[in-house]
Amino acid sequence: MDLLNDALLLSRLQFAITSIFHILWPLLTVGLSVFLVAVEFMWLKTGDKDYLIHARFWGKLFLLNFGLGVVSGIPLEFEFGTNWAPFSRLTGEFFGNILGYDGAMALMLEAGFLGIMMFGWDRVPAKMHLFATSMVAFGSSLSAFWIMVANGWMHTPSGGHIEAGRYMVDSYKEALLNPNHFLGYAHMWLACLATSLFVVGGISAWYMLHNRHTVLFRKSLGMALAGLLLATPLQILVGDIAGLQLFHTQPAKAAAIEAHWNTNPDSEGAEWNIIAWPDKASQTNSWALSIPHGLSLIVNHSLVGKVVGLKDFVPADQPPAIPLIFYTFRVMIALGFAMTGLALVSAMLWWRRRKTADDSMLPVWLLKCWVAAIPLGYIATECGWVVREVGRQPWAVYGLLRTEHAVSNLPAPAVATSLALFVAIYTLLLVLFLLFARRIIMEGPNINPQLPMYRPISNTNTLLLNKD
Amino acid sequence: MEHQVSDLLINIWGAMLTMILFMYVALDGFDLGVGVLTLLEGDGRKKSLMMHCLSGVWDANETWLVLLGGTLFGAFPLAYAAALQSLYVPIMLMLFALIFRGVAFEFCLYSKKPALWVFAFGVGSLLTIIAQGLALSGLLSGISLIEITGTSALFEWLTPFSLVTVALLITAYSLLGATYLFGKVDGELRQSAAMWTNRIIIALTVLLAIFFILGPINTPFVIERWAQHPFFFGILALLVAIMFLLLQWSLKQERHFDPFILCLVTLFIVLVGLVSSNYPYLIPGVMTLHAAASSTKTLEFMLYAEGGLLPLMLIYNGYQYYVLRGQVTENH
Repeated sequence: MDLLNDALLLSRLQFAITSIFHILWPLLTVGLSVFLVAVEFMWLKTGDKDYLIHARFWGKLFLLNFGLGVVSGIPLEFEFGTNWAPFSRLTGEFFGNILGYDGAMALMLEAGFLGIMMFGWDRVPAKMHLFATSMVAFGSSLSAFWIMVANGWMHTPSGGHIEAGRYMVDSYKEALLNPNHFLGYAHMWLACLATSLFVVGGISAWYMLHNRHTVLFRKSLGMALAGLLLATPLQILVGDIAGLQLFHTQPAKAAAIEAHWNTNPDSEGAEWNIIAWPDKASQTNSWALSIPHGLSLIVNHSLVGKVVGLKDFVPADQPPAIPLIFYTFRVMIALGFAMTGLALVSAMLWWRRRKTADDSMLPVWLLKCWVAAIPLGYIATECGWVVREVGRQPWAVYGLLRTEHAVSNLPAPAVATSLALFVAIYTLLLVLFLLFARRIIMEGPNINPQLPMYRPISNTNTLLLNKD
Repeated sequence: MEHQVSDLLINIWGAMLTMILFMYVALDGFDLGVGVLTLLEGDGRKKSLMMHCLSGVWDANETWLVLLGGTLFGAFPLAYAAALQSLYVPIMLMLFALIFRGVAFEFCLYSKKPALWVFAFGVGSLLTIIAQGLALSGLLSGISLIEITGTSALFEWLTPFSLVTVALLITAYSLLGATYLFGKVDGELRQSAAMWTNRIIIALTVLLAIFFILGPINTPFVIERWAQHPFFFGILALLVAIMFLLLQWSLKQERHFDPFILCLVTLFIVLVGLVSSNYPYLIPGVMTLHAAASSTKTLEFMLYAEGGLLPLMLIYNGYQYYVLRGQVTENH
């Protein structure tokens, strides 16, 4: 087995697997916390008990998800040192600094208010509780911000230079606001929000299909739909801009995404491959179905615009696994449009039915689509990350440090062992998470929650004397 | 002059790192300790009561570890890289154990058969402490942290001293856990906590003595340091002894959190002793703070945000404890 002797490949697999698993939980943490702020705000504003029921019910799922996010994420921070020590030495001044910021500003904030949010309903005034929930949401979005600063910098390192084997920052403004960062963050944040709202919407639709608390869950489905109407079209726009930017910042990656091998001559357009089978060994596509001039039009908005092809890079500088990049990108795009379509169709039908007495607002087939859409955001996001990270190869830090030079010099059997354990533990984690999430959902909300000690009554917080 | 500025910054960051380490050991220490103590408690209801004492705070406690890792990575990247790579085995063990106990805790809240998860939480906590003990002894024993090239080097950190350190950490964390429980619960469980505390103090006194005798075998500069400042280190040792006596006395009083606070003070004194014995080394005998540190510019930039936020973090973490204060009782 060659694989078991290749410490580089094993370390790469280990990092890939731990991050592929880990990201499942923060996706929901970031988005669901925003949703929880919204329902709690509605509870304070309207005094409608349904919103309190929602806050408590989705909060249960949130807590389970949050805990798994914390524990599954800790290994990532330490793997930079254990498996990527040369990377850590080179980049520590900036990359490590940013991870420190993430811990100090963001992670600490969300964890510092989580307990109050979950267990403080009877212990703090209503507005203070809303503040705690908001801090959890703000903290998790801020954490995503710093992670995307660090990760974006690996794609477009800027604002510094290498001196005596270490990356020294000259301009923090340039390094923090590296070209990749803003779009990367916007894209990821919207992915978190959309994924979470499809989870909320899908679970709500499931209850409505089973005629459980239909009126209650119509509210959450409606809120999810309203959010998605904004988020999904915006996501397509942001994704498009981010994709086009790649042709300037990471042309080899962009060419791999489109299986585009030859730079088009001056007077000819580059074709866009709808589907193809890129073959790195022969440096061409085995077959392709393509639209003439398509890529030139997409990238340069002109029929003959020049698009750099993969062959402009020697094979050692081209990303590996080009079919993987090519197809995960297409899956992401297809799912993005499917989710946007679902949101638009649902909004249209909802609007048409707004005056009917029908409780569910949406037809059964569409509710079933919502249930089926629960995993779509996760799959699209994972595909996007595969494109992003595999596409960055062979570089750990684009143009500065090759992945093969970034890896720790560890005996392969040690990494193989830890990799096997990570796979086993994370798989178990996911299975158990799904089982317990299912249990929370099957159990359903407590529709007669004890009202908190402090609750909103005509915009003032009245302390109820709780005599029991 | 540039060099002096950077020395000051390096010392500030050394102090910050010590502070964050203290927070981590104090906070995750008590919940890891409570985890170990659940293995000693036979009564299922009391076990779940012990778990209940940790809900709402363990996530934040564990976050101090993440902050510790990030701070080490940013401020002392060379030490971060060298130490983590050389200690691959104990670090991986710690990560697996942390995952294990974290999820066991979460699943315990939702499970119909919590007993299994409580047990998993206890075992996970114990394994976490063992891994931390192994890593700490590796750092303190002055082994050269070179690139691991062969499988044999994977276990170079393992020495007889490792066992002492592991035993020390298990008892120290358990003491934190027992005194925290003493403050947080009532009734029979509180008496158990008092009993555990009394027993642990004896074990801990012995282990601390062995630890500080065996510790400097490979790091002769520590013994020199002690010889140069006998009064300072003597006073520290005396203070620890006084703290332990006070601790036993305070168990008999009705002030619930006094024992825990005395433990924190003791922990702080021991940490000061450890750090001042090894200063200016970050990895004793191998790498000084200076050799491991980032540039002045980085340290400055990090200090603006992280240094400024540290007091704020302490405040809102403290606020969370304040909000969730009060006794946890069986009929909860």
